[in-house]
Amino acid sequence: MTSVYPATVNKRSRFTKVVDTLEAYIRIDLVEERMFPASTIMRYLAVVFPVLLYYFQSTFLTISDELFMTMLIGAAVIAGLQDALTGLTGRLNFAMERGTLETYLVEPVPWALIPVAMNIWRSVTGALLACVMVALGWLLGGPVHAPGIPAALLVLFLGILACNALGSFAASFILLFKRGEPVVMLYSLAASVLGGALFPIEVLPVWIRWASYLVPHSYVIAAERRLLIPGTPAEGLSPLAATLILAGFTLVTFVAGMFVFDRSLRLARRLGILSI
Amino acid sequence: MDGDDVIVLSGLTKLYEPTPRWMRIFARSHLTEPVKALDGVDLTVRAGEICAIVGPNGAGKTTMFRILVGLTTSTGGTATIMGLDAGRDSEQVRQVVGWMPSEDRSLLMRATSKENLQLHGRLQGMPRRELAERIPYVLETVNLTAQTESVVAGLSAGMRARLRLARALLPGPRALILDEPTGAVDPIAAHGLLTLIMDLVKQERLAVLISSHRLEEIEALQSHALLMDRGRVNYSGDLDSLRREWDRPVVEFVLDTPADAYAVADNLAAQGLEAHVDDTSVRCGHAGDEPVGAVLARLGPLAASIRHVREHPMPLRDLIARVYERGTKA
Repeated sequence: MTSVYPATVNKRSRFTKVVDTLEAYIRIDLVEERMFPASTIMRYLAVVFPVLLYYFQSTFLTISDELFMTMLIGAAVIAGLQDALTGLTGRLNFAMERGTLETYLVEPVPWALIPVAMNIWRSVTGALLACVMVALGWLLGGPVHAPGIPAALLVLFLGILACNALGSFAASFILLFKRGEPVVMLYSLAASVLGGALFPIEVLPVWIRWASYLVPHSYVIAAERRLLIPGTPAEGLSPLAATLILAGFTLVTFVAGMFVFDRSLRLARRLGILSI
Repeated sequence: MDGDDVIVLSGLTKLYEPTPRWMRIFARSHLTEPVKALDGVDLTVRAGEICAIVGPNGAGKTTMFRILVGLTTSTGGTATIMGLDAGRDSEQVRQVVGWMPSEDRSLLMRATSKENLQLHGRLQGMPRRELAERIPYVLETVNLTAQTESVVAGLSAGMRARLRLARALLPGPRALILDEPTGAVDPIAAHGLLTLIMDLVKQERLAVLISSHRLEEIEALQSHALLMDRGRVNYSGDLDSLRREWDRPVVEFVLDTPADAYAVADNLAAQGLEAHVDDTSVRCGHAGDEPVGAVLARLGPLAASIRHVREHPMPLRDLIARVYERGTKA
């Protein structure tokens, strides 16, 4: 064997590059999960406590099982989408501070793909944790409408995609200004209020309710409640309408997010501040 | 362009613009004035050649490397690798260049050597089967076979440097860009690493760009050298030519007694030469291309008391300092 391996530039199709990149980044995440096994286990165990918190609170306040599930589904969706929303900024900051970002950028993969690839594992585990929270609620006696589960998973998937797209705006912010968490954290906290994590958004005053329609969390939470809790009153948007709006929202934010990320990359590259 | 030309820089210029005002609202800028980091740099590195980039901090070495691997763009001139434009064909360039960054932190510290190479190989688009054969080969090349399953955090600085080299070699690049490869490595390990690089260059006809602050290493590489200062090239050529052009060796005369040494020193000083006495020896830096014999002839009868004559070549450090001095005056 020789050190000079390819005779020419190894040409790969766009699709192969996407698959290779996604696979490699999932592998990086798996390695990182294994790097710190105790913290990984604790992260998964931690979801038990909010479920217990809402369970005992509902027992103490003698509220119905349906209301317990209303709060739990809201909290689970917020927790699941939180990972999709903040995972990328966390990863980018970590890579920048540790010095591995430069190595990632020097790899022959499309840079615009990096935000999605970097966040894919975190998004999947976030969704999984949300499902585990709802399953624990069911084990504690909360009602779950089983036929609604496949549609609920689809809605959750769309919500995660939308949050990933929003995450790429934050990634652009990090590329240019080296700090993105305050923006994401602010958005994330606002989204839990505006999205109606613990209450239906109809509770919000009318003058602020319009803002609820700008965050994907509102659509995901509303649809999940309608799909998973039996006998939920048919108020507000139907699950189908929420899903369609969410799909449109995801498409627009994805295209815009990729465009902004690409522009930010070009600017950072020109200014010489990429990965510095 | 010759078929053997691998890295070609032509009038490469980089002017860092000040950070736009709107960006300064979000983060304090490190640049408020334009800075010319590279100013019309020309360079060709052919297959089987090593080119050492030497220069103080701010000379433009890192900017040159960052342009080549696509982390920044040039504002003038061109940079090509195997005919691919570093700006336009950046993704393809990154496939034919092996980049060895200066810091260990570029490795995943809690992952094993093998895992680090697997990640890099997949991002390079290497098929799994090929990768499975290739990883043991490159680890063997850098003498890290025994550390295949070792976690990087537990490796010595020298081993980590070799792992970074293995990672750069993994996809079989035609050009290697080595940014201070021996930075944190002890002299013995550094010697081993450089010997390995020199062997690879010979065997595989790789084109190598290397930056180092250790001048003895640059000398050991027997490479083409590019001396840079504030973005400009002060000297480009091999070190032998540099010596021929700039070396002013110091001649040492060893005499029988200190009295003889002082007599010789006085004579040399009278000839307008600088002479320093140390016990029984006199060190003299003779001017221009004048042969040592001419200096000896002018010593007259005193020459008979000289026991030994030694010529000390100028240390590379002083030689380079002279080149920079000229550059500053120019």
